[in-house]
Amino acid sequence: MRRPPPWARVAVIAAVLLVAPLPLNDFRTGLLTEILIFGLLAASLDVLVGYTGLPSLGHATYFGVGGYVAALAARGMTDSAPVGLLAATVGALAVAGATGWLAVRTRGVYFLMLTLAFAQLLFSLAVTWAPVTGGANGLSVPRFALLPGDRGLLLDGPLVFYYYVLAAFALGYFLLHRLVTSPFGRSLVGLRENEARMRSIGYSVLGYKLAAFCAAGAVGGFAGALFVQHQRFISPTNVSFEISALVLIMVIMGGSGTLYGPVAGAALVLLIRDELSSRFQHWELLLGLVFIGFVYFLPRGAAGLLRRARPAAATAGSIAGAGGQEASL
Amino acid sequence: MTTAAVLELRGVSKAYGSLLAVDGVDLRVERGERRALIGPNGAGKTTLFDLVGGRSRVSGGRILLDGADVTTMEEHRRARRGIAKTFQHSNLFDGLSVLDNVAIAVQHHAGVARRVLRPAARETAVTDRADGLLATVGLGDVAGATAGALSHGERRQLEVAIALATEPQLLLFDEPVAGMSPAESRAFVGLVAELPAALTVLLIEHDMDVVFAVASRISVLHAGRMLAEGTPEEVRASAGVQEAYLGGGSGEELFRAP
Repeated sequence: MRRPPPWARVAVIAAVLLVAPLPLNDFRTGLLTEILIFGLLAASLDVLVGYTGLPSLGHATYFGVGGYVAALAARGMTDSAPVGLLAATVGALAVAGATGWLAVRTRGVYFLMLTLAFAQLLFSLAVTWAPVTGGANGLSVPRFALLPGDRGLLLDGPLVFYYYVLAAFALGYFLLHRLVTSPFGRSLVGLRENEARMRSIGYSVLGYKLAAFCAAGAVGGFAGALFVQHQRFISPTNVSFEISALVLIMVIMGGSGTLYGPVAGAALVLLIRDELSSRFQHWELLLGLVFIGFVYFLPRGAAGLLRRARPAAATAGSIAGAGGQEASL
Repeated sequence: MTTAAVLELRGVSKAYGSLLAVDGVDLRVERGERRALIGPNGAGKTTLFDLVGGRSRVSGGRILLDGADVTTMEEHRRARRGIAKTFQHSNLFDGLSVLDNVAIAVQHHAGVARRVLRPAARETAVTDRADGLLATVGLGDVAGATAGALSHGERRQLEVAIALATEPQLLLFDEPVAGMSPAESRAFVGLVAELPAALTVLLIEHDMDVVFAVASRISVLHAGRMLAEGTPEEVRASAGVQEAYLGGGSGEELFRAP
């Protein structure tokens, strides 16, 4: 049985994403936009959780920093959405560098708690530093244009904004994919599999972990800016523990260490939320039950269903297998 | 003044609480030597390896690599200076393909492990080198298999391929043939014989067939102390060595007929 070449799969997915919003109403288009944004956020977290083996429970930190930077840039600097994106990415990268420098020196539960602590710290800051963040009331954000200046191609209407997010998603996902399939990505997977052995080969593991942390944080900030540009509003909720936990659930439900799995996980979680929250007040309860079901029956996530059909090219075997030689089993 | 040995230990000790696992060991290994380190279980052989490799720190004494003091150097920096090792209990990247296991070591040694601009699969120099190493250790046929699925003997072979990938000047083997079939053991002996002459090998091994086939010199460690050192013939004839094993239980195991 031959598999279609990788470009064919990419072309099909791109075509589907391009036409998907056309039959949808504005509300559904908005949901699809949100799925792409959270999909990118979850994929960025997957670099840490799935590839490097660092379980972060504070990814909302970078999502939030990116969001606030984008909001402040929009209010005080420019209405250009891409400029805001860039500023947010740089801002999140800086914060990831500072927090990651500490975090990568810990492991396991301690890493988890430290990343959680950073997120809580930022949450408190967002609430109390009202002159800048608007406190608990948050900040509303004016409309965005594609380009700075007067005739800046206003990003108006859900459909136009969807295509803007789709382009940003494609860019972000492409960069993450490059990262995890590169030699550097193979180094990260080596850290996940056997950190001690990496050291005995000669790897300085802290540098690699920090680089992974920064990359995940930067793309997380990128997604945070997209979200704020989508909502045209930001509040401390964007940095809340709920976001951190939800993103981690997306990664695990979708299938960590696959990059596309967490995107599917984001779609799953958001669809569950949207379908249920209108009919059932405690939708989180049902999400929790679904999550338990996934962990129990599909420990490798939704992506595990796809993987079952393939030979044992292992999680990161795709690194060597996808482009180069296939396992000759 | 003598030329620097590849590895020199001066009065190296390692204490765990009140237990002296390694007690004032002096050792000098010249370039290209095939040195075996033998001794009963608990003699401190693996501890000594950990001290040399940098996995743990000495409690006293000094370690010199090529004349340079590496006593306090971190493990990964020593690895970059040319120390590689295989582990007593194989220590692999179980979830990855056999090829990726070696490629991780190759790409680091080639200085491309940080590259992000193109897929790893297109780093053909790395892949080719990894393939070559796998062929060298006899794993060419299973390059695509998952490392976790290998047999015990194959895992040991993969250990060797990973160690060789770093092009070390000093290669530490910790019981490389433990659990191997006789055929696999012979293949290992052949493999060591084919290693570059300039490569220095330090080997912990209980299988005396392998020790006598491989080693040019033997050091005997007993209860953390260096008991004897010499050519294989000298060590075999040494009364002190024989005595050390009498009543130790492991004597017969150690000196079973070659």
